[in-house]
Amino acid sequence: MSARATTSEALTGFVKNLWAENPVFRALLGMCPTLAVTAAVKPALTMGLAATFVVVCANTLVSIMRHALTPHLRILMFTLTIAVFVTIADLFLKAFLPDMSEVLGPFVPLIIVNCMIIARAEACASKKPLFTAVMDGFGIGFGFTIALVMLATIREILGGGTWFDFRVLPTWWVPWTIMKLPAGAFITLGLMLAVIVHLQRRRQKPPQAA
Amino acid sequence: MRNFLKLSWLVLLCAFVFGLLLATVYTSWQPRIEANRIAKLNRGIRSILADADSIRADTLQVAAGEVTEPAVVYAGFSTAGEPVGFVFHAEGTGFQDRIELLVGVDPAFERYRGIAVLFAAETPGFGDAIRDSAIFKSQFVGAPVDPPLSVIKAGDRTKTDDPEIVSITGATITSVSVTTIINRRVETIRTPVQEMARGAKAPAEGT
Repeated sequence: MSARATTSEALTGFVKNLWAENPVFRALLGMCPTLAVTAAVKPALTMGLAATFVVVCANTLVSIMRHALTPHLRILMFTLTIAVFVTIADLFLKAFLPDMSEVLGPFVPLIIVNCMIIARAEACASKKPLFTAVMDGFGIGFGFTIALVMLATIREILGGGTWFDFRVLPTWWVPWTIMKLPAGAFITLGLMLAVIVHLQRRRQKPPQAA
Repeated sequence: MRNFLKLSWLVLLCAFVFGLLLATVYTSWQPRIEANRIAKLNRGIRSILADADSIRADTLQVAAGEVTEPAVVYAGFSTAGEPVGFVFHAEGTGFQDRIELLVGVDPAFERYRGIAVLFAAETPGFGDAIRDSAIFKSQFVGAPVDPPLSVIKAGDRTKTDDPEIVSITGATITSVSVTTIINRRVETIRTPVQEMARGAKAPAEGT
């Protein structure tokens, strides 16, 4: 494959992962943190960036070692690689953002079992050249972050009248308590998925003959 | 042996390199993580024993079922060398995760001096208010140790002389967890702290 074709494939993959193949809205991957840490925008953004760091680093290493991967070692090597970067991300948060590390609790170590990351290692990084794998990682990571922040934006505004801890709704606004609770996460995600699928179907619908 | 190496060289190499990488990262950041922990602990103790001139840490043996376990108690002393209060750890289960508190009592172990939250991962916007809500925490200052603390859903949050704590709106379970954790800890640590208070003397140098 020529260098131009590789670059084009990498950039196409990056853009596609942001929305058209968004891990949360299209593939329904990584649901655990999506539901658990989106009560406010700050933890959602931190989780999204931590997952982006892990998926980019894991894709990079898996792509570099892809020719040496044998079928019986594949999953073991993916897990080992992902676990290393998750541990680094967890230590980084504990050292430099201790309050946020507390808010995210066990959900940062749980990135290890996020199927979105192992799926990209299997479907892309273990088969594609380095640049394509790295761009795929950035696309999937940013796509995941966008989804988390969108969900958290709705929940934080309706649930507390704030966005990024800044008040955006008037003080007479009565917060919708349910939006901060797990039930609010399920309801918001369900409605967002319904809207996205509806818009997708409308776009794909062939024009009616006159 | 040759076949074993042929099949597993990549795992062995990666395990070695990753181990080295993690060891380096851990060694570099661990002092900072530890410093964060100590700074938070010191902030918590100072927020409860604000009037103490010096603070001394002692390890007491506290009953835990049929055995005893060591527990660190921080004793605050005035400039005259008189004890002004004691602070101890209390830990238990909250709504989502464990809650770790610092609880302060007066030298006679009759009234609370306040609480500080060392760890809590409760629901953002609701239960996590136990960390930031000054109104919730202020209710413990001056509250009697006897009878045990209890939680009510509505009441005067500015009253501090009774054992009834008005819960955080939308976080009753977290509020009940906090009072339960404190009551349980008080049951076991009261006698050792009172014994320690009888012989408490100010440290030679302030900490």
